[in-house]
Amino acid sequence: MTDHAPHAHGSPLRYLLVFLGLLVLTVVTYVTGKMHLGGWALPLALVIASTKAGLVLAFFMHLWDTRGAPLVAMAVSLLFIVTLLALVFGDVAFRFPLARPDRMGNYEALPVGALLGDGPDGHAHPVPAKR
Amino acid sequence: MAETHAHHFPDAGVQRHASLLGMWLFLSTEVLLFAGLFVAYGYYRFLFPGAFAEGSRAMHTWLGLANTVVLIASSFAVALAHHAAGAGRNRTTFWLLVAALAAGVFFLGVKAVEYVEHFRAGELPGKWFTHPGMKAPGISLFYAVYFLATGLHALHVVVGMSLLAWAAVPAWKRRYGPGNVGLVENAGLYWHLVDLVWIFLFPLLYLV
Repeated sequence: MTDHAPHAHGSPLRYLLVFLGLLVLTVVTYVTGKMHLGGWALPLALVIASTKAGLVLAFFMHLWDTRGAPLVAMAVSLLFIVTLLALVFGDVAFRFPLARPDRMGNYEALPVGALLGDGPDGHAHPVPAKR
Repeated sequence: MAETHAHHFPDAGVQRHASLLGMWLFLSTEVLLFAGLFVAYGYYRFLFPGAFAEGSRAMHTWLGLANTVVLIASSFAVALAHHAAGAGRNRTTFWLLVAALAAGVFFLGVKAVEYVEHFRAGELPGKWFTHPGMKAPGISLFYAVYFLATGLHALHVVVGMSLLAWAAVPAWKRRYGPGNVGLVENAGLYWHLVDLVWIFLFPLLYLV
């Protein structure tokens, strides 16, 4: 009766190899995380974490041997994450500086000429454009 | 071997396909739930990089590392438990699930120790942040993201442990066998997802 059932395809040896791989990658991310690599630290950590996640999804969760709908469900989920990230970072990266929460009140961070005058109370009072 | 299926399925194979698809659909919504928090992390980190550097420096990296290793080992145990259940080795399945449960208890214990330290030090979100030494702008946002992400994850650990305990019952009663592993399989998928989320949380909150 179970001929066309999706059998579990994992073998204990494969699980052991995946487990060891995950341990090695954990050590790598720990060691590189302690090295203070500056701008490369975050991308490297994300690449390692994604690799580990891929190992768990493919072998512990058997996606490697799965065909059809479950793959579509996960793919759509990832597509929405990428969309959300792209829209949020597209917004915050190209926003007018004063509309960013971290720049509010920090006029020194503005490009020269972005504000036309400061009031005596320390708050910005942009001069209306001349007609 | 006990092979059962509900009357509205033609056979056990179709039932298993439906059960797996339902579980994967649920898991993809779980991924999206956590994705919102990861985007919040990225957003605030982009705005306040200094705060996130200061916050992650204050974390006990060793505790996070220990928890990562423990969760990965528990995932390994659950994968083996699923395999043993398919071969009808119910005793092995039972003890592997017990081992995974013990790992969950360890994880929550370590998390509790960390939370107590954060509360004592005043490293808390929003207006409750009272740590005198940490001055980076936006530092309380780091702790808002930290508590939301790890708190939601800890809640998932509790749910996952309940599912593993539930899946251990048929193993104790020697009910698993070829073609009859649905419960331990789906509970295992949930537990792997809990592991998956932590795989991202650990480097993002503790390391970089």
